[in-house]
Amino acid sequence: MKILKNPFLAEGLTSTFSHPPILRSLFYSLIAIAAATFFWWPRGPLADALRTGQPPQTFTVTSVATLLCLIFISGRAGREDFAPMDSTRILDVVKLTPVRISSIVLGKLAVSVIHTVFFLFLVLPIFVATRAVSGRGFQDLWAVAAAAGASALCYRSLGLLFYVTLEQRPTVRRFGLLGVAIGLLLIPLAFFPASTPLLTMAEPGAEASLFGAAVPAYALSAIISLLAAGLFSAAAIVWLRFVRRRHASRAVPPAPVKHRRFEE
Amino acid sequence: MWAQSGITLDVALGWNGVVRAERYTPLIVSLENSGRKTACTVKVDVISGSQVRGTYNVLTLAQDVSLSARSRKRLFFVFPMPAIYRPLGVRVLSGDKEIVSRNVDLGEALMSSGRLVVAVSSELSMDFLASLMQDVRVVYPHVENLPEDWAGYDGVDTVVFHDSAFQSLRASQVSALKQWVFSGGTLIVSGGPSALQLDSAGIDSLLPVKVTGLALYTRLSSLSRLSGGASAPSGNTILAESRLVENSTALIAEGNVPLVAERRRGRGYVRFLAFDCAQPPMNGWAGNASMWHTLITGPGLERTVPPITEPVDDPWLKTVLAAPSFFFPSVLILCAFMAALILGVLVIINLKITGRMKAGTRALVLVVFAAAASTASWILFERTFFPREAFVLEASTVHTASYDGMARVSARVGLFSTGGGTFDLSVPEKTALVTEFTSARAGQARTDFEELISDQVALRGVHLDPYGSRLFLVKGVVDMPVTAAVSRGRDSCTVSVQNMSRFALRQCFFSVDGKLYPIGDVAPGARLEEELDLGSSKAEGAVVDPRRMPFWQQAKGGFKGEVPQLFGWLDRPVIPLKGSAGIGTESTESVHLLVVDAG
Repeated sequence: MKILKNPFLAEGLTSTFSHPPILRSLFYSLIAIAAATFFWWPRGPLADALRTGQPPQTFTVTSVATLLCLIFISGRAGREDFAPMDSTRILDVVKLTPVRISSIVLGKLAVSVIHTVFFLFLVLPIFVATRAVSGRGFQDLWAVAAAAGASALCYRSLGLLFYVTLEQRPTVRRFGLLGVAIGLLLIPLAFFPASTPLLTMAEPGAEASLFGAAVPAYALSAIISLLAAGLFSAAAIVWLRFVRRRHASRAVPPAPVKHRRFEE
Repeated sequence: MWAQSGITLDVALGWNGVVRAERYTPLIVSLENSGRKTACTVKVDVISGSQVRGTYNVLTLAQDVSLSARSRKRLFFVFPMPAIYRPLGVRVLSGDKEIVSRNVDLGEALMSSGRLVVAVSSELSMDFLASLMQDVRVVYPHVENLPEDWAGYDGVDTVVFHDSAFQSLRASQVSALKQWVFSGGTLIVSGGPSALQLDSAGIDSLLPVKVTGLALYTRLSSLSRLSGGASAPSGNTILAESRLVENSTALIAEGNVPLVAERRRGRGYVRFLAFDCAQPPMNGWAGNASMWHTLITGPGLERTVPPITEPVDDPWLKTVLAAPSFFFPSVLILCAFMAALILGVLVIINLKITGRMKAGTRALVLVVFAAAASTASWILFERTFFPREAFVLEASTVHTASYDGMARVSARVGLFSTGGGTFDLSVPEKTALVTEFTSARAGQARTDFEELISDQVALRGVHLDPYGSRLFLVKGVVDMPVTAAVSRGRDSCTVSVQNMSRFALRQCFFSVDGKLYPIGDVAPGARLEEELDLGSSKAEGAVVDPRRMPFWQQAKGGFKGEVPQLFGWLDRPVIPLKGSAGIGTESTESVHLLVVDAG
């Protein structure tokens, strides 16, 4: 329950559901997913699909589109692209206030979880439609949501890490994050496909072998994404502590900055 | 014999061991229990196809049996003899534990060509047939071993009743024999003194004659018409004197006594010989070969083990699947739905919400909207515009002759599923023959099901992958008391229909000399009589509903009869299917065509 009182969670939720750029990003993503669904929507007689025994790939396309949109939005949100102009930058908070760094990162992560769940809920009507025509079960829907959601957390943490480490280099930050995101998504395909959420999007019921045991690929992908999210968040915390320590050692202690949200 | 746990297992395959390729074959499993009372299940595994070609398939037939202490039981099975076969596996299980089993080699007595004549006789009296006709094989099964299921006779061309051996037939065997004749079999009853016992055997209702007594003849001159040039047989011959019954024909008569009489029953024939064919002078008669050639050459049975095919390519089901309800939901519906969803979200995110709960209110409204849209999506795409997860489509024909009262039912049943799953199907008709003939796609392993035969035929564990389909053939012979009659005049003819069945006949029409005359619906129990103007025939398009037209085009070729025929449509199947939860078996797209050969 302590997390509910986290001021960064409250601030993040307020901006998520009221700040126009964030709402627009949700809206454009919805349009992109709807468009992908439209282009892959099966047409013609059912007998054609029954003859080949191959379900239409609409659900897969919707899943991949959702994953890419989530990654894109989460990465950008992680590096504070959608932050209101009048909001306080994380580095300023770290340098100028005594707020615990872990509570900053945890607050950001909590916002990320809620934002991701909300996004998935918003595209649920499209998934319900594609699930029917693609012959998928509700367990497939759950698998896709779990893998895509965990992946979104991972990229949000990665975005946060890039933001705090490369704050002064926006171009490097942007393209670096893009490159790492693509690499994280595609490189494992060559070595351990089950670790990438793309496999879950293509085949939600797939199984992977882990130390000789068969485990659902979506669960493996989600666990790896969550571990990566934890790793990136930990790295961000370490870096922010370093920033605070360096700032404290260099500068004359400034007068405390009064911020209405951090007064306590 | 194999014995274990006090149970002895014995197997009698085919017709005295003779089996025919791609025909249904009878199998008798005998169980002898020398131990305590026990309940077990007998399973017969019919293994066919090739793993390399991806056509490997195991059909398991099962029957539950309860064995008292020191008892013996015989179980009758009928299985489709595959083209590519492996040893038949017979297993006796108590629960999941196998207590005794046996493998039976199917190739040992495979008869690949020729005619199979089953002689029901107490002695080897019909062997002369094999010497007369090289392609004929005569077998003498014990009367006790004759099938109790009409499909067991599938591999048989002709059954000959000689002497009085038929008297030991059980009621179930007589019933199976009758159904087999109705489905296209040929039964020949040899007369002589034993003909007097036909009444008591229960097969008199099939016969073309009513036996009235015996008489001694010295020369059967009229038989020369069937002799192929040989002189008529001469010598003392005991003839069964008889008179023809309704709808029968005397092919040969000696005076007023029918020597060879014939009666068509359903699609089959029953022929009666007034003399004992295996006694002198008939067995040594020079014209025997010609006569028997005529007697055992009939239209024959239609091939009952159908060619393997994809369900959607089956000619009958294809016509049903073309219905508009079997299309994916239209893109227009999708567009309308997406537009509503996107517009709704657009409006909500642009709402000017003020006050302290500004962000939370917007989030709540969006969540409620998304939930409503998801529900709408489920109703639209899973319940309204797209079939349920599994559905059964059926196309059947019911063919009867108006003087018979029994009809031969042939149904193609397709089980389709877009979501996949494992389903059960049952046919509440023990004698119905249910066979699967789905082709296996290359590289796709088939998951097999079990066909349990008790008071119904139940298919358990029929597995379908998403967008999978399986095709079954259901055949049966059922009561269908519908009669139709046509009496012709010069410019018109009078038709009458009496429907004593439980089924309403929809959009009926008569086919007289290839022309079609609609007469409308005939309710159950109704009698209709109408005068047709022979000049007022209608085109196919005017008498057949457009929805049923594709099926009519496919099916009509099988009913080109020489006699006028009544056609009508049934609202529901004559052999109903029951499906487990998740299967819709009452499809409005299914079609059921009734054909009655008019008297």
